[in-house]
Amino acid sequence: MDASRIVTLLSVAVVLGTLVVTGPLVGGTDAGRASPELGEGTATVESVQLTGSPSFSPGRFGTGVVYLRIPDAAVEFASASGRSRLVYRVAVPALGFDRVGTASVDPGTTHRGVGMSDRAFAPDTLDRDRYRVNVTVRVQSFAVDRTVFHRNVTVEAGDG
Amino acid sequence: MAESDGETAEPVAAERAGSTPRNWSVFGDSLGVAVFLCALALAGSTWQVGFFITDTYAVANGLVNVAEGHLTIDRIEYSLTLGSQPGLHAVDGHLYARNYGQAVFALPAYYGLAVLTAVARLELVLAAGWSLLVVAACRQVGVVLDRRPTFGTAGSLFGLGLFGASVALAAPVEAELAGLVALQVLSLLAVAVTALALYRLCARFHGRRVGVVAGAGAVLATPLWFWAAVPKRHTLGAAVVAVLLYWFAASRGAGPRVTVPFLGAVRKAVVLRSLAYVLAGLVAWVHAFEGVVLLGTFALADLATASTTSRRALVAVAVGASVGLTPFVATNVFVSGNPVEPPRLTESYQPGNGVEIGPGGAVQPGEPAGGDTDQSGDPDGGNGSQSGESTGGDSGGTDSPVAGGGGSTTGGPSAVGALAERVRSSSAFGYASRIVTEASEAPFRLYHTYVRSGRIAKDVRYDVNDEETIELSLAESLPLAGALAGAFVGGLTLRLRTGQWSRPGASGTRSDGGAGGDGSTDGLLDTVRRHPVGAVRRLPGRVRRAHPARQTDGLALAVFAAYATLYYPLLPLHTQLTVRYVLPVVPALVYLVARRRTVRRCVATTPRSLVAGYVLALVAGVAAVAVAFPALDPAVGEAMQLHALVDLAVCGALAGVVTATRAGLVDDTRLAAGALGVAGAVTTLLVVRMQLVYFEYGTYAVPVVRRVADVFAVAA
Repeated sequence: MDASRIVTLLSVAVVLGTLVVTGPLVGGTDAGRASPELGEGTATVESVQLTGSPSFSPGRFGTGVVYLRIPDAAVEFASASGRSRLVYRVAVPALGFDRVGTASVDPGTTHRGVGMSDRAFAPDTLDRDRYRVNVTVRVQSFAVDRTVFHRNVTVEAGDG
Repeated sequence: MAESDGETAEPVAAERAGSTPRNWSVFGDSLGVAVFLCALALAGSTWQVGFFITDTYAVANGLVNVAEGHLTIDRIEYSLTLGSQPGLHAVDGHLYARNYGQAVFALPAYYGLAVLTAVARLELVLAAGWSLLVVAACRQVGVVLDRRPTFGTAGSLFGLGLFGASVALAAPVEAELAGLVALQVLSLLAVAVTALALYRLCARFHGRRVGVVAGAGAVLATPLWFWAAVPKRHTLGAAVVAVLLYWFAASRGAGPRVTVPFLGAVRKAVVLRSLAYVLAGLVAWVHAFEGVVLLGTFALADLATASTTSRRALVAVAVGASVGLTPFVATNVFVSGNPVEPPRLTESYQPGNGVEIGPGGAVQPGEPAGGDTDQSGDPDGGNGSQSGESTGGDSGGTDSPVAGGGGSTTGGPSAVGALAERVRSSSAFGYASRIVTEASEAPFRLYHTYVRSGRIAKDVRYDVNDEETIELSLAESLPLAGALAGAFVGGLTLRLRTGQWSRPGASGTRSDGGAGGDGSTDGLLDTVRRHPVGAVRRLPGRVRRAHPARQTDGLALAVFAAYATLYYPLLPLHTQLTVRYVLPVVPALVYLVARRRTVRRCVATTPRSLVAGYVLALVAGVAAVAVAFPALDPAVGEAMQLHALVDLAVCGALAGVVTATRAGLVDDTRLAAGALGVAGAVTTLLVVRMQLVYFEYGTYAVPVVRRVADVFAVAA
């Protein structure tokens, strides 16, 4: 038996052994299992900034739609203990649009960005000149749910 | 096709050497094994365990219930929301899935997973399976290159490292998802089988190098890779088309005699032909219309070119088709009581029509519905808008040509007497007339389906996918097809330039391996001009005497035409992404590309340019994405359309370069070879980014690939 075959057989044995050892028959350890995203933590926010302002602009490359461009939110923490998460919510009530983006906050995090994808609208659905966009950022865990940022922005649809 | 060819016929001679067991090899040779393993490892590397298209829930529920021993869905294992789901059908107070072929074919994988998840965690089973696959692929490449010790050792250590990293990164995958995973395994295997069949087909006619390029191209340069982990019918269809092409090619000519249990000595060609009919018939179990169309197309091509239509051969063919159709008919009789009414054609389940889905997914008899719910007024019923970016509904109404053509299939199981009326009013008949009535829309439909997508204002429902313009055309998702157009135009140009319609040396006959001769289009065109009537009368003979490669070209073109016609009234449509309804024609197109003389010259004389074009374009593409995308910050629709524009430009450039080379305006094949490589690279970039960036819908089976992609900032 040549060396390469031994290496292969050993590799296969290690892989199969790992499978069985981590499996439900042998204790079923949770090693390697991802820990849950949300805990009982909390975080004190120092500042929240949007990387831009929400706006409408035409889709490029032949997409033929109008996009609501949604900026990212950048959050600075004074302190963070336990596991919590940021909930970044953007809503345009007049268009029935409401979307959240989330980011987990681990203990000791000092800054965290959270974003979400732009939202497309068929051009003929935008029948007003301007829309009110609600932007909120919350810190959320099983222990807390606190709004740390809230802003109403009026966005022109005209250039869309 | 205007392109002439010069294929060799030596494999046929090799086959005659004897009917040893090697004749029945699945992989052909060690290179075939390598193509299969590499294709499977590649397709599996970006696998996401998740439901991308909503009617997969119904098929997965069908699988779990079939595994428990009944066709009726008594237990809903998977659901997005409570209540109905697209693809679920109610007949006489029982629920059924829209297709059972897929569910039954996936059963072995399901039982295998059931055993494995009893001793190991599912996410680690997937990671281990893929890592061992990488080890096997590396070893096999070593065998091919005659460097087995080096590749074996390095591959084993590499695979072990991949597994270790995956164990550290793995996110949990619930063991209950085994039904979905089994369907995905079936789909992934189908893509690997497609690559293998293309390798064997092209190697048969043009040698192993062309075979390897075609096999690798099937995964790297086509949208098959994206659909590999999406357990719809499309990858299965592609695999069937590829295998049918190969068996068709291998069964032209009498071939050797082989010994078959119970039958004694039989011509191998006859065995392969009947197997092909079985396979085509089985497609009906997955999708009735595609099955019937494939069976018909294959039968037409087969009977027109068969070396023997002896009574014995015809019986074998009929038996094959009957065997293939049996499970389909049996399922229909069981579910709807009508042998030609598959579950998909029965009434879609709506809460309240005689069945209730209780808490925990238990299916119970409910209040009978107050009269039949007519589906025809609600073609988009069940098209739930999804939280995900692209998991657009794919309901019975718009997904299936059958249901789309005749939504009027209300009422319970019918007697034979109602059959004629039913056929006339709903499925095939109505569908055919729909093709005719919508012929006037051909320019609009064909342009948006095959050339340029953009925003298709009419017919495409973008609302199910958050208004994102993510539906690409065939040329945009398969720019390689530009080579076909180029070869055709180039061939015509050459003849116009030289003023010569019949090639010198076109007098060869089939027996000496020359492909032209009687069967070539050149000779044919000449004769048609001189003696039109006689030419038509002699056409069947010419077709029958043509070289097997040309005959197989004919089947490939016929399959393309059949699918294009079948789906003509439905396309363009939402949630197609890469025109997935016609995905089964992709292997046929790859085969036709590989058959072009210019392409073969590129592969034979300047393979380095081909590889360099691919690698350099891929590197340049990744770099361009990393630099440009953060600056452009495109939304998913914009990103897809940017890919579309680039791919379309590449497709056009490839067509131009191949035209010039074929027409003799450019003698050097390096340019064409490079262009072929670039066309492959832009598709690889598209399908990989679709899976890792644009459409995340599940848990990555190989988390280490996800992590490497993040590090490489592919996810810019």
